[in-house]
Amino acid sequence: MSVLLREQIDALLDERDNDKRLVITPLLDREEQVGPGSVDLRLGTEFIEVSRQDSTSIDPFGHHEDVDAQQSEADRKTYVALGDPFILHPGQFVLGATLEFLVLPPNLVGQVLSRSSWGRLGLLVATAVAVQPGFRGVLTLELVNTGSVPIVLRPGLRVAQLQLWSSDRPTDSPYGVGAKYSAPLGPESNRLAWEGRERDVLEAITRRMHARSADSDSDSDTEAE
Amino acid sequence: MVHGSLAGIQFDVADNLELVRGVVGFKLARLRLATAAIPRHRRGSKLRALMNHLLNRVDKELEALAQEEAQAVGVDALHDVVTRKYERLSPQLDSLHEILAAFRDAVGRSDVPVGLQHLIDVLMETVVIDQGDPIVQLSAVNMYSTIDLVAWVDDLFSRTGSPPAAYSGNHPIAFNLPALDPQNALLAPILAHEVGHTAVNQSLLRALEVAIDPAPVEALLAMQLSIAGLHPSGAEAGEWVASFQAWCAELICDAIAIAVTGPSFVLAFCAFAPPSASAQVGTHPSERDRIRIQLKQLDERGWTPTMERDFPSLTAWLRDASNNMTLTGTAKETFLRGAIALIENEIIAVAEQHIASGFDPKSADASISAAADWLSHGVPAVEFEGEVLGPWAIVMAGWIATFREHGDDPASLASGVGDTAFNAVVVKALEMSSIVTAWRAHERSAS
Repeated sequence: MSVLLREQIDALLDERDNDKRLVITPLLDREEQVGPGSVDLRLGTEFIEVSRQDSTSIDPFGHHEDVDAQQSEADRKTYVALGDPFILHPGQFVLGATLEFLVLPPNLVGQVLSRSSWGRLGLLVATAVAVQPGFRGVLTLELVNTGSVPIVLRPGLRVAQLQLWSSDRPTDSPYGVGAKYSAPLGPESNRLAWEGRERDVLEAITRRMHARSADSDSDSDTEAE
Repeated sequence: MVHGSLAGIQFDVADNLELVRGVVGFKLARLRLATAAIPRHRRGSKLRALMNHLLNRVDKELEALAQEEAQAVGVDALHDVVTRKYERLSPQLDSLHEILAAFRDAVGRSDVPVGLQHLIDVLMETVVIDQGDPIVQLSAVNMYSTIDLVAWVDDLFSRTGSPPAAYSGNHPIAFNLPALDPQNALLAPILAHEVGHTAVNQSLLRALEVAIDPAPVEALLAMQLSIAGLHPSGAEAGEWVASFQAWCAELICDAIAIAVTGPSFVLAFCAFAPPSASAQVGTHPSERDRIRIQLKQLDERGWTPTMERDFPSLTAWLRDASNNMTLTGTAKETFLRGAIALIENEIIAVAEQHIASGFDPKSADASISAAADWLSHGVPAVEFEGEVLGPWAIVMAGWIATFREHGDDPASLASGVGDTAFNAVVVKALEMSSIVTAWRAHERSAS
């Protein structure tokens, strides 16, 4: 596994064989965006905000139908045109997405990092988000203003970097093989609750642990004496 | 108590001038507040300018009324006239309330994808005379339609006896999209037809009147009225002429949509209003005649080879669907369809002259095919070999991808339109197109 440098990234972007090609579209300014060891990604036009007044809490252990319904009720999607402002207030968390739509060949892995210039303003964009081989779609960005003054974001700004790592051989099970048009086109909400099997395991363990100390009628009788 | 007389009849009425003036005052204040809350510098903000123009006019009327009121002190008849003038302002203000309440929340709305907003902007620039300012409305009633709000104000005012708006600014134009399916990119060409109505009302219907020779149409009308046993100046004859004008308006809008969007319009049209054998002669020409004229225009614009290459079976089906079958067999049908056939060349010409730069088959043919390939794999790519596809090329690519996926078949029209996930990819491609086009244009101007 080795990190890809500019020349290798360029070669993959120009690859004629679609199965081996790296797609990053649109690349508005390829010369600027493809750096020595990464590709700069721009902020897209869609945002998801969670409306606080409509939410009690989010429990990933909840049954996924309930969590989905809760999420979609609380989520508010906003579209902002290229260059228009989207103001992120101190402490505010929203989901954004990259402007670019990506298709990774099955032998590439990616990692999305915040650009340091934004980090110095207190903006967290991505926390080493992994991009799996075969990924197709835009990347969801978790945007948090950790500073003390509002930050004006504008779709089209370069906010993140994509580092690419190449493997000697392609994976046998690339990410996201399924419905043809299922690729994310905008930011996506939490999908933790969809990991149903793990939720069931954790719930079972929790039940067993608490069974020891659970109240019983005989315990209550003892206390009463 | 006010003593007055009307048509020679003496009457006494309770003095309600202050009450009527007060009602007008609070209605006006409410409208001012709501108008001030309309965002500035956003898509649709011209609604604010239109409302301010109309409210300022009401202010001037109120100033004049205040002077009249001062002169009417102690003169019952004048006092009553002033009261009635205040009363007449009330329905005018109610009309403004109706418009404001219907559209203010849609100004600068941020819940419509950028790609769709761009498409609407493009239509504003291409079709509407002097352009317009779009207000995107998710409508439960009007499905796909456009409303020029200045024309609507004029219409409402005319019912209350008020003078027209006399507004010279950029017209706010409401774009109604179906509330439950606003993001249907493959049906978007219908919008080009709908926005055409604004241009038709602005000037194109008059342009058609100038362009045609009325004699053959009038002769056909006289003959068919005679066959039907109707008097040439009777109410039914007037209704036939009104239907003829309505049909002309629809056909000009069809021709505008074909010029702007290419074959995508006839495909969207058939998915939206499938041609049927139902025997009706209504406010719109029959789908069969409309498809026939659309195919004729597409052929004149050079689209036939592309259509026969990319969807030959469907093209053959469209020709079948446009055959000239009789509907009701009535004299009215014979007049309307015959009259349209007499002037269809002029209808197409008026629309074509209005659209300065249409969409033709030479526009990026190879890139459309490449875009269709990518779209059929769910990838919204829009730039090929340095060429950026425009919005209607992308919609066309969307249709071609649909036929590659679902087959070259009429049923595929419904499959494509009904595929929400695929339409979302096309809408994303429309967004990409607007962004890349703007970026490249800036690069060119900067260099």
